[in-house]
Amino acid sequence: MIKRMLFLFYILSIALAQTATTEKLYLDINSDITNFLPGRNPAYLSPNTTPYAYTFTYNNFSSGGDYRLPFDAGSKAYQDISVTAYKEMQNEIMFVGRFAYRYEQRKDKMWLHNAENDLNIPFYFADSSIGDFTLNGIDWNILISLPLTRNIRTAVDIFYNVDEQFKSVFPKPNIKRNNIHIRPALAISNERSQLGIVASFFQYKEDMNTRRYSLEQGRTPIFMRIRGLDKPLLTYAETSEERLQTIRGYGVSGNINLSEHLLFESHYESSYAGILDGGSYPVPQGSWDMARFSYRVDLQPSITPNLDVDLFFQHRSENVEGFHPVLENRIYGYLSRHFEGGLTLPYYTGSGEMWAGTVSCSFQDIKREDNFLGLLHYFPGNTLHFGMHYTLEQNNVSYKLQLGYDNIIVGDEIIYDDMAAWYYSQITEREIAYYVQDREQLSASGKIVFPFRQYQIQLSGSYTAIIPKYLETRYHLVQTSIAFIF
Amino acid sequence: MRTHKNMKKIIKHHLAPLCFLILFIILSCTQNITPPASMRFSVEITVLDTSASDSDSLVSAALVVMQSISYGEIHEALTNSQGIASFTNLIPDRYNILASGERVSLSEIIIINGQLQDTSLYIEENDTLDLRIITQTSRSSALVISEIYYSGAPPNPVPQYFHDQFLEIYNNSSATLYLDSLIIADVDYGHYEDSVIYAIHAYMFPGDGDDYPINPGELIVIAQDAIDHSPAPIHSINLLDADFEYYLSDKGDVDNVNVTNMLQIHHKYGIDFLYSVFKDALVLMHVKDPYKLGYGEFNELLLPKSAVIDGIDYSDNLAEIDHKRLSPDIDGGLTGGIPSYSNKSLERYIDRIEDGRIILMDNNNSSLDFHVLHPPTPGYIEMEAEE
Repeated sequence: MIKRMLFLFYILSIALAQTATTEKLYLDINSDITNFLPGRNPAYLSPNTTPYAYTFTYNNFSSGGDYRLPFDAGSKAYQDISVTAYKEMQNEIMFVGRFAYRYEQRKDKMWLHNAENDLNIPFYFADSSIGDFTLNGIDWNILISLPLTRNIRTAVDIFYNVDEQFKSVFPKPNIKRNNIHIRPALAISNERSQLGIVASFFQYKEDMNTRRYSLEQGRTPIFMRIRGLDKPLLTYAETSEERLQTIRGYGVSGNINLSEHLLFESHYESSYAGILDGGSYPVPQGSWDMARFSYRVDLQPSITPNLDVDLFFQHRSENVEGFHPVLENRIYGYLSRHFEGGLTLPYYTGSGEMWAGTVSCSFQDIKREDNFLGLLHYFPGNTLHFGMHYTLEQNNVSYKLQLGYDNIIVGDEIIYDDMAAWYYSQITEREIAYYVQDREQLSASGKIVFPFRQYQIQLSGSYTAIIPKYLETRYHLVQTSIAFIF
Repeated sequence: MRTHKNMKKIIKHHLAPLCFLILFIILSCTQNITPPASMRFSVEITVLDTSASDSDSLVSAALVVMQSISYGEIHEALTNSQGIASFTNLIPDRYNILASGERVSLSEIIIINGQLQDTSLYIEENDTLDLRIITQTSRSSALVISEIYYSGAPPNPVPQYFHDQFLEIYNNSSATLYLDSLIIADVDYGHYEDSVIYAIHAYMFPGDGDDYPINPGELIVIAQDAIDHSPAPIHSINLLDADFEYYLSDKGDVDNVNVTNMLQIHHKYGIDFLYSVFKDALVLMHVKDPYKLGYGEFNELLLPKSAVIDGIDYSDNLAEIDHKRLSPDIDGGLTGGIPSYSNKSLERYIDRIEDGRIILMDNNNSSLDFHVLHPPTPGYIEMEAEE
């Protein structure tokens, strides 16, 4: 049973790492109070699955490098401090509270005012400066999980976040965000099988302002409303209008675990975003719809008591469509897909030790389309992935080590770029140069949890390097964290 | 042995779904990439002059300019013998469309101007739009506004200094003319299609009919304040040699006693006859009785539009052609596009030289007739256009 749990956690960690949560996609926030539960379903939280009573955690993320998309920051440093508490109330009711403060710096960020990381959205607000952004934010999580019957639990997970981000250089855009995400859930489980469903409803609002322009400043900022791949709208030296973006959406996800031999997990999410150039006479700038869909199937027959096998297939897709504010025609499309099939062989040596090797092959593609001007880019590619995972639990000390290597080969791109203009040559061509690179990705991560006096200390770290094969540029991501667990 | 059995079991129970999955992956991966749809379109614009006889109503060789308001793209084409100008690969947007041409007979050249303002153009299918521009006709003026400087002095160190404004008038004809009793007025916004000019300010040249002659090829300068604005801290232009100036004795205005003062006909507000540093329209008129039509609701002096000799319509934002103040028979275009307090002026292009005399361009379309000049040149014409 213990070896099974080790392996399930391993599978879970892979799935979670590859599918960005909604908060991660739009807000760059990892709220981890349900990360260890199947399908991140809060209804699986019970007195039996509670990981600890409470914990103080400090996380540090940093990333940077030259191999990046033009609108990505040159470097990013991100820290958060959080406190999380799990409390069992009467009648097996579980209550979880999490509070976090986060601080982020993005250096050399080009043009964009929008605060979110997702660069697949069709419309941006921008000015012509490159500068550093600083963000301060706090977020709260409250989760209540209660049993309906012996095998059925329900729960609700409420996430709320406020941020303020500002750029240090003229025209000093200031971005305020106000976000809420509610996830009601249901879980049915017995000793051998599980079925869980989670619904989600979210609203993420951004309010962007720029410093008022005046002649005395002797500068002439250019404000842009970027739509699609070319032809941004330019306004010269206009004063700060309020720029608003509201993303609303819903999602549903589910997971099935049949006798721990067949695991299925799926997620669908649909969101709608509208943006306005505000001020005295708000002018709609367009809207977009985004649909994300993913699923993963794991077949896990046992071969020997010490050797299992996991055959898996997973698919992710993201489809974005942007619409003209007046004509209401579709003017932008983005479609990315990822299909992956592979094999994991976990081997248990006994006494809490597990080795697992993974090999997988995937096909992925990206299609970007500007139906306003008639531009299209298509980038197919294949990835060969090798991974190794090691877990040891001994003398109340837990060790985890993970290594990964990805070889990404980009296929023949298809590009229709008739009649492109300055924005295309300045931005879009750099995006193409990014996407067409064959590259390798190396990753390593480790975690150790050990007892210290009356509590436990968890230290973890990870490093990822993205290395284009025919360029000197690189991109690195580093994460470290320390947690005091009570 | 047990391992062998387990392998058999795996193959039996899991190979079929695995094969199905692999087949599904292969089928899912295929994607047919075709050229993208585009909202670009073509348009054919027919230019019509309804004042001409039927056979001449289609205007050939007219210049048609399409300006995309949001994106700033400018497309130009000449009409063919059928009066049609063709444009391709336009992007959907609001457009300002200007048409300018001329009809030549033995006795005269008639100027043709027409426009479609702020017109949303797009099509659902990949087809061609057909548009028509009905033009208005006008004739070239003998007296023309040759240069206007309204933007004001550079803001550093004295902000918002505009007392160095001037207007320059040129005799574009071969005959000596007289400025006596001609009126300079600025035009209020919102009366584009009316038959009268709504003047916020109106100032008249003094004289009894033959006191202030202007010879062929001669120009005169009307200053707001005819003083030297070039010393520090203003660093602008010298208007000591201006021919006329506006003077408001009751407003503490500066008076150069060596320069003839214009006569105040109407002055709605302000400490001087200030041309807006952002957007305005000025006309030169000849009106026998300027008070005959009375006043507008908001104390504008009403003057007959038919009495306009020449006019200029300018704005700092050239995309705002739908905010024009002058109708196409006076000015079929819009000029300017220069920031306020930039020390830049607008000067009329030179059309040709006849017998050593400069003939300035006069299409009654300031978009075509004027260019930006820096620094301003009060009292003379810059021979080489400088943008």
